[in-house]
Amino acid sequence: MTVRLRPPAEVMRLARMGAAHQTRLSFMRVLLRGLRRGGWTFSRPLWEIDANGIGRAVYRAQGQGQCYSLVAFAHDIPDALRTDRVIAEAWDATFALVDGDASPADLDRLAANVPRQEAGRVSDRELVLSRANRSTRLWEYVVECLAQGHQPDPDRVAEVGYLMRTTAVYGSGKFGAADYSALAGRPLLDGPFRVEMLAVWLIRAFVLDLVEHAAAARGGDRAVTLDPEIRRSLGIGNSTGLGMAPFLVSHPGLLNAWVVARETAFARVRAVPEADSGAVDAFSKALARTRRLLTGWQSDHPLQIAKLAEIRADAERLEEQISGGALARPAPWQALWEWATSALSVEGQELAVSLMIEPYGDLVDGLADTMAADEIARFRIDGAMPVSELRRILQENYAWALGTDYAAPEARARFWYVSTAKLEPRLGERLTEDGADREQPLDIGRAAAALARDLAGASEDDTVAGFLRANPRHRQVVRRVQQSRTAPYGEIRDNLISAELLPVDMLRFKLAFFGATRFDPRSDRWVRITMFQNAPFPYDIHDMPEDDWVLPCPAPCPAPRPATPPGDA
Amino acid sequence: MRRTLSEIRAVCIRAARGAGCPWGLAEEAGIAARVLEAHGLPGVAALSRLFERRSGCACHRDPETPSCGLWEMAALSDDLPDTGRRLGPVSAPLLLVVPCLLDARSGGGWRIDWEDGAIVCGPGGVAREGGLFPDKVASVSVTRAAPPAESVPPDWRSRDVPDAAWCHLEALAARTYVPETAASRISGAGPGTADTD
Repeated sequence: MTVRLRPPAEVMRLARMGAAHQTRLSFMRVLLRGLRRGGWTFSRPLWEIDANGIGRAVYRAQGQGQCYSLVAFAHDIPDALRTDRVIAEAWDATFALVDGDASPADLDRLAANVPRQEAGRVSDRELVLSRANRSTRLWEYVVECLAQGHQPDPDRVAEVGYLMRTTAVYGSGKFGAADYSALAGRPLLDGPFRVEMLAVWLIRAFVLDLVEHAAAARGGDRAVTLDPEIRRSLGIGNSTGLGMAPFLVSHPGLLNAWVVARETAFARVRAVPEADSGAVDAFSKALARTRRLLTGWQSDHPLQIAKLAEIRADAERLEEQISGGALARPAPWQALWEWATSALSVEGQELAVSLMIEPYGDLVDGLADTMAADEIARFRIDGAMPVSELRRILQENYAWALGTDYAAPEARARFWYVSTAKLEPRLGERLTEDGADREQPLDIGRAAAALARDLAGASEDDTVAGFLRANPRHRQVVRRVQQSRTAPYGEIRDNLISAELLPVDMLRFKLAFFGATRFDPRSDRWVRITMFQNAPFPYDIHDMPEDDWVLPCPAPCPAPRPATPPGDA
Repeated sequence: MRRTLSEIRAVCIRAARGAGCPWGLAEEAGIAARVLEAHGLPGVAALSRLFERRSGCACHRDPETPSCGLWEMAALSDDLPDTGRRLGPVSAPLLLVVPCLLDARSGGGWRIDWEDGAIVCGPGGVAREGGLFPDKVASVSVTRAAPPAESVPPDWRSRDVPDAAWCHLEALAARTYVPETAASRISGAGPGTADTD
């Protein structure tokens, strides 16, 4: 049985993108599977943190002929300086991931620069630059509990889910760090955001070591370490604003590769003729665990509260459907999907996508290696293309954009811009704020409509090269239209300057591909998430079941934390 | 100071836009600088000098002056000749190497000649003949050619770029930034006051 991929017109709408969930192909899961299968080892060669929680540490990852070192700097900043915004200038902890071992000279060089983040400078021996802030809700509480010799309340811990939030994870050549080409050809790490995820996973290990260190410094002999179950339940938070959104527009080839991989995985599963007992069990287990996860997923934002209510009800409906024998029929996954499209909300449908892929690692995990893209290879415009062909592609792939009246205030209400304040990406109101003359080119729908207008007057005999000589302002959108032939999932098919735009949908989509959970929007353009919650630690990744951490066990199953010899994490 | 290829691309896109290019051409300026610098060719300096000579749009076409190398680069990229083409006079002729380099990635080779030098491109990289990169030339020849026997492959590492050129490009890039206001500081990025917890 052949099953077609869901079409871009369905998948690339923001309302659906903003309902995306992690899958087996999410970058965190791909990384941890790879670390385990590659036999990577981990150590903590340096721990120089004083009783006030200030100092430095190094975490080393080695495997498949490679070595990476997370260099962590712990600081103590006044509460008043703590903000997750890009415009912050001080953080509770700062990090760099070094390509190889970090020498004493590297540490001194990084100590002079990494704590300053954007104001400092790293070298192309570094792959990632990052920082994190303590959770004011949880950090002090957990330190005090452990110092007093007792465990923190698991419910209170679960309410937050992390002790620190990263507020930026810079890679790919930013602030002097190595260009993404540095990773080309390297086993495991040559893939989108894998090295950034490695850094974040090691940051999580550091943060949990640090909280226990702080408790020991305060409580002395009375202090205890975290209960292993609570320890594992703590991920690393992340606070994300608009900075992530333009990436999805400026990397159409990459966006296409991500979505094609996921949709191919989903189509392969829907083509399975019958579900064997192993797949049924795996799906049922994943659904049961998801329902538990949904119980603990809290948000106080009205948008997300409504979505959570929908998805909890949808998960229950899905379970009823399975109990009723939905997986016993032929082509069960296709049938289940057809039912889901009519019975579930978009949130519930996208959850079903994630869950249906879950039992079929053998069928889909290899697709993780197809999620990179050579953006430069697709960059040149095909000038020999007849204008008539360009017009045809435009009508076919950009129909979503061509019917809008962009003169209407609500259709062009917003504009994207870069602020002089630390070059923070922002969204302005066109009719009431200055700066629209410096607008960033995220108005793809409007640009497509303008192209269509000018193409209408072009000669049938003309080529794209000739058209662009007379109309150079269309070069950007012509490139995108041509790219849409081979990258049909590379375009968000919604008006990104509309009054109705919810940028948080773009953030959620990207973060779901990272593997984030517990999306907690703080506004229409700001979201908190949790990463690596319930994941293995460096010290037990080889002792835990493979790739079984995203959905927590109904009965917690933490591995006992081994006694670590000095120098090892 | 040493700059990464990512930084070079990002600043050159914004600088080209700040100099007046349409966004599509600005994106091509960014790719051009990245590709040239990766091959050890002075893309940053070439763009900076090109923009110095134009107070407004770098694509301005004035019949009395050499045509803009960036504009000619885009036109050449859109319509690479089957055999060869002669162009000129043109400013920043180094930029004409870029579409040839991108095309050569999939096989074949190109030769770009001007008065005092030439560059030969192949799948493995570039070979230079002559050491000068003039701001403008009377004539450039672009022809298909055998890939160079020995070439310098692209290198992803950071590289030194001229400080003056970089500062110039950053100043142009700054024309694309919107000044901070108290209102935009609060509302523009979204979190309001809930930016910690």
